[in-house]
Amino acid sequence: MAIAGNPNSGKTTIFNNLTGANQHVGNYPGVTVEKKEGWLDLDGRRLKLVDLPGTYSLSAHSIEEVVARNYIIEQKPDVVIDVVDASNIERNLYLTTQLLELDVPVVLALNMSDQAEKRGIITDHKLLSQLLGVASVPTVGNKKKGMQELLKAAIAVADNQDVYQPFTVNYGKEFEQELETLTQLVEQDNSVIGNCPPRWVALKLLEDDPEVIKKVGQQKTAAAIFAAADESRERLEALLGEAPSAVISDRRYGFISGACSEAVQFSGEKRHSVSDTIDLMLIHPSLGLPIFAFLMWMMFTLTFTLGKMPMEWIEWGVGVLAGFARSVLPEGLLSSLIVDGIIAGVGGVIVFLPNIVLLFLAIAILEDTGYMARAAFVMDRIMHRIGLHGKSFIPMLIGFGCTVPAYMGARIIEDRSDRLVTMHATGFMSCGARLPVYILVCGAFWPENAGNVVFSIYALGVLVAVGTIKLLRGTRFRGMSEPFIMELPPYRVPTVRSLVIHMWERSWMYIRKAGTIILAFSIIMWVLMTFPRLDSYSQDYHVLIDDATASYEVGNMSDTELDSLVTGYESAMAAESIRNSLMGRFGMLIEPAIEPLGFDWRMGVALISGFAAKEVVVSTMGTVYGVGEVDEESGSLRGRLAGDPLYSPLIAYAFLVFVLLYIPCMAAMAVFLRETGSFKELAFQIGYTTGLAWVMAFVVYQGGRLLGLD
Amino acid sequence: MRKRSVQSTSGETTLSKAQPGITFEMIGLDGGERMSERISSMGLNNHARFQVIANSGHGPVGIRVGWTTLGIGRGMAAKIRVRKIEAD
Repeated sequence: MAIAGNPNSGKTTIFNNLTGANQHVGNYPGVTVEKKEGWLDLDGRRLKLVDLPGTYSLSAHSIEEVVARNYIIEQKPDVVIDVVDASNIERNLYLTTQLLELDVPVVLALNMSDQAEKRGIITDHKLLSQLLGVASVPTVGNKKKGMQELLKAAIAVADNQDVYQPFTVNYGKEFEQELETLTQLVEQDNSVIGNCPPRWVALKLLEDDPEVIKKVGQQKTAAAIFAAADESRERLEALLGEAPSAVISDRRYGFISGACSEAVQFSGEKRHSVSDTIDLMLIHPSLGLPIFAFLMWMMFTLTFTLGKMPMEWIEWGVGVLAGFARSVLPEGLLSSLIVDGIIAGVGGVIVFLPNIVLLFLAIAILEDTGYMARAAFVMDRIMHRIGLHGKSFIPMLIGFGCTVPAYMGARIIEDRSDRLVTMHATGFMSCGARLPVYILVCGAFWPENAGNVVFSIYALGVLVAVGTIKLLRGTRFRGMSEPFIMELPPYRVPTVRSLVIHMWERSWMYIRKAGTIILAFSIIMWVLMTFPRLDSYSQDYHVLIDDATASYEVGNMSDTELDSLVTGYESAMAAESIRNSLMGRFGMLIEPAIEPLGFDWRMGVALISGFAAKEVVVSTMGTVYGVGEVDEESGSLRGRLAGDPLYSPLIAYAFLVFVLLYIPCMAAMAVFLRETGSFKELAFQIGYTTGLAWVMAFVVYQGGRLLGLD
Repeated sequence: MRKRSVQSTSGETTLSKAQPGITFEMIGLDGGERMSERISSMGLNNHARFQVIANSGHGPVGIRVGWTTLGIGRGMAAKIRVRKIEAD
């Protein structure tokens, strides 16, 4: 069984009701971007349910439509439950007319029937069933009404498919004639399009559907079919004075309003609602943008202020855990692996969990209330100037939190070029994981002005994103962006349950990343920085430490003097051993490549480790500079950086620029590949970001030197 | 159903120039098949009546068609031919 329907028709709620699953239900078109599967047991039978992405149509204009359509064509579900928003029935039936043409058994769920009644829309579902030749069941998804009846009707249809006899749209005499001729031609050779109903293929050819044309194009008879289709289209256009697709949609709506005029009573005349009133303000030409800017500011401020406390608790917890591990484990490799490798690495990432959770909560609120679509509306004017439309803004916004969900959020953009341009630019929106690096470095070099410097980096990221969009639009992805059209869903008060599910789904992804990728990389980095081990150091530090201790014991030294001496020796020892380690050697090897940027091998090592996750840069620096465990608040690491004669504020700034721009982390790249399905785009993304990072850091460093800033 | 009021062609314009607060009827589209399919699947087809709720002369146009609110980019709105039905 498959569940299809318009976005926001309550499909996912019905899916959850039937399967007992907890899929996120949103109030934002495109929440179900991929199909989700669930099972239910009924009378000893095990039924598989697939929740298809919400679509308005079954053309090939967006990924969702293609996913939904291909599933129905290729998997041939026994029955498709078409969830229809009864309070907006005419538009919702548009999709139904297309489902009927796909030759799959359909059952209608007239959902939100309570809301429809409130709006004065009363549907005689029995009459509607007769008129369409399809069973229909009134349901109220969020109150779980009509679920059993719906299931019963669906199973009855699935079991007796031969009785199922739907009426389909009649496109008019001339049109049907052309359609018939074309259908016969298609029927003669169905080697590639075997699963698709021939009449549907013919119809799609008249509509100029790119996916179907591609499929038919693989057949031997393609040329003849295309020629016939072109002729038919021309004849129809001449005859009817309109493009075939316009005729098709007119007839479909004609068919629908014919059925609705008999089976549906509309009594509510005034079509104003609370949503309209709110919209008068939120998408107001001059108020809309300031309100939007204010909400964004609130979102980031709350994320960081509310997140501060739990962050401190987690830091404290990680510290306690490290101390405990160090005390129970015998000193040696194992202790070092667990404390310096695993706890420091994973702990450093988990610390940001509160920020991430809060940011995702804020985004979930924006989505579930229905505001996100308005944000796209408001931003469209600005985005249009740089060559994209309003929808591209949303993934870029999410990118400030984390690039991974941002890439996934780009799915709402129908056009592939638009989507790729957006994704290439999204990586420059400085994600939450880069922040610790900024805080550390800025604290070391600009203790007075850290906030402004961090802000300048964020701003640079936005500028580079805009520049990238312009550049790509002018070169690799020429042409205008796809026109913008988006439904602005009615405002709703989000349910706690839905917000929690939404927040949890995304946060869990972050936790999983910490538990898998980052854990693995922490261990790898530890190994690379520990082996090969150094047998002899330039000085015998153990002897020096013993000497110092002895000197302290006879009273020649104070506590603090001893501490600083010992720490100094230990750091020097660690630095020597890292220099000798595989990672150190590799850092030395690449040093010539980053020398023009003012970086040394230690920075190189930190940057390379940042590919695992950007926040790892901080923990690696701690290890490389031999100060043991660090976080971005770490005074000792900050002191080491600020006091290092090799470094200057100019180099530090070039370093920040590089961290901002170079390749997004491993997890983000994996998602990028999955979403684009193109190694070419992945290679471009990696090369472009890292190349640009190098060039920009070079310009900052060398330019700054010319200006005498060094 | 309300009867369509008799209109002179002077009431014809494009959606991009339609004033807010007024009801219009869509009468045609100067766009391709793809665009036609997209807007009609979202509820805006030929002869559909709708109300303009936001149009500042810049940026997208907001309309209300039936129980659906749609945001339509300016470029697309310029290709949608409409006719004024009534003042609200």
